[in-house]
Amino acid sequence: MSCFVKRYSGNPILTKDDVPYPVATVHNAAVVKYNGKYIMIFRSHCLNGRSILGIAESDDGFKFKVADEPFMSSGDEYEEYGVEDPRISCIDGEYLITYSAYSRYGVRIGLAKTLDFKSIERVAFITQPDLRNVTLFPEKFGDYYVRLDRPHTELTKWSMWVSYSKDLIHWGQSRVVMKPLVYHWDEMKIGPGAPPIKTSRGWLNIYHGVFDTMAGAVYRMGVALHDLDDPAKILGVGDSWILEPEDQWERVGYVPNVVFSCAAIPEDDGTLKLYWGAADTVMCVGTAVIEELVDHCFNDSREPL
Amino acid sequence: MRRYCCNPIITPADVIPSREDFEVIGVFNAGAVEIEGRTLLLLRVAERPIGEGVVAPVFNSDTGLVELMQFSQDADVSDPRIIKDGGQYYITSISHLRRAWSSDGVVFSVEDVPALYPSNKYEEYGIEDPRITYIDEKYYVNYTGVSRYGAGTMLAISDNMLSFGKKGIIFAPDNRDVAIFPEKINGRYYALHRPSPGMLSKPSIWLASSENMLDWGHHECIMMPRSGFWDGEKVGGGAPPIRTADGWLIIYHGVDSEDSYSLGAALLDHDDPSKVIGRSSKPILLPCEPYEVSGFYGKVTFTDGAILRVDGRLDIYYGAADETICLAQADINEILSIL
Repeated sequence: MSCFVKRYSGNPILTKDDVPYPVATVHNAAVVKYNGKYIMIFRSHCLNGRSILGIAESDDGFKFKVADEPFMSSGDEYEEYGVEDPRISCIDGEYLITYSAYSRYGVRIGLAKTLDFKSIERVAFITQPDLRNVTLFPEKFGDYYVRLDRPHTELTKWSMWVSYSKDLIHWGQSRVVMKPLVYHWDEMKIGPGAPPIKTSRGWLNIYHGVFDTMAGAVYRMGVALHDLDDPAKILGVGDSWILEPEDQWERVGYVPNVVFSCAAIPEDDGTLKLYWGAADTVMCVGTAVIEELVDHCFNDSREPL
Repeated sequence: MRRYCCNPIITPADVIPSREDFEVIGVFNAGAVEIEGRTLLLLRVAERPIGEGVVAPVFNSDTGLVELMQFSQDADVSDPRIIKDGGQYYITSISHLRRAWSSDGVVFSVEDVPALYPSNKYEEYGIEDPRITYIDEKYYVNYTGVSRYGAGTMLAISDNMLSFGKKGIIFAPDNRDVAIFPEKINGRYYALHRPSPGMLSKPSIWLASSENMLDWGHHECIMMPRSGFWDGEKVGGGAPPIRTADGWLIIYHGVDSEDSYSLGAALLDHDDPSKVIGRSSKPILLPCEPYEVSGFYGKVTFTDGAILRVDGRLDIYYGAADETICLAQADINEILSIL
């Protein structure tokens, strides 16, 4: 089992049986602390195969209660095929949600915000298609919001980029920061996972990497550390993964052999709770020591580009 | 459109290579602008090393030099433009941008040295397909930067088209065929762009806007391919939009199911260019002349620049078969009449 992430004994923590409306899956959830509680915004496949976002609440970060109604469903024509894979960052008291919007025009990132997790305001679509997996740094750098993003290209393996914005609407200064490594666990593609976590030595980026096998793609999680002042500068990338599909519900499901995180919550005791969707079917949680993950970025580090 | 009698007007033989060990294999897809009565084309010049073997010229941003990468005979070269090796793409030529001047719009004098050359890691496989837009006494030149990281759109700004300040990426990979509107609309800059939508969609024309020309947002899809038509598989912006009394005239390229690149026209609303108010059901130019049908990449007519002359004649400069520059002309009112 992973030497970095200690799986919670009660996994999976959320399944379709916990949802009071008909869904096929519960996975790839954003989690954030709000008013002393843990709020989870999770993705579910509806029984027509398109995805919506639900909401659940917890006192301890392990046992969640799902609300009676979905949190967010398809809005305009750019979301007609569904909304997927949310991430939440709290910046200046506002909870900003980046999510993938699917439509006949491709997949791109929508930005929505909420102050109370009851009402939701869609702000804008902030990328071109195809592009998914955007996380916002939870602090501004000078005048700029900064995001990690992952544009699609036909020319090469999909890589991790950063982009900058003064208003969250218009984005620019895009630059590549990290790319897959040939015949490595993340050789097929990489992408942002949980929103970056601030540590004393840098921003901890828990990302996903994919390896294509004869039996399909395997999704694992790894770590990279970004400079505290310059998020486009990567200080180190752990060479080995920190989490891979091992439990039965990670190996078998809607999409087999997937652990995929959209959230990690730092705690006061120096640990974090890492949440991941397992096999695109259920939600799981584990704990890790933040300093061990940071050390891993420096020990046996591989080149980012 | 009427083709100019003596097409092509610029061929690789008219261009001196940037290095003695390179040959020019294509001069095509040029940006166009009128400066003090003269026509300036900013040419895409594609070069490759002279000699045998499977070789890709690649700019090394650490050394500042173009180096020659050698490949084994196992590399996939089924597309003449591309080498595929170990899951990575390379390009068989490297492009730079070169000025050519003319006093009559037909006979051009090509400068001896590049005007813009690859200079950073996003341009290591070359810089391609420039468009020139003049706004408030500045020239905005957008072009495709191709690299191991994909094909994105870069911006350079110039006061005089003689020296340029490169501003980096404005549309991240993959995104090409960007055409910037020549005026602000309601206080904002606008551009057509062409992202890469993968499985869910076909390459389409999108619109974005900006307050500073560097940071772009409000992306929306305005024109998709029309199945069964001449533009059924891909569409992309061509020359920068032209203001007319009826709206913004855009000359765009469309690709059909036979991979043939034709030019068509569309009209966008003056105040809200996301509104398409006309679109040509047939192409205004399609590859049929020998220099359009065969060449480095055949069946291609592709424009990056068109100039509206004072008498209402529209001169469309277009790349033919990814090899030469040609000219086609029409009265702009004739084009508008079909929209």
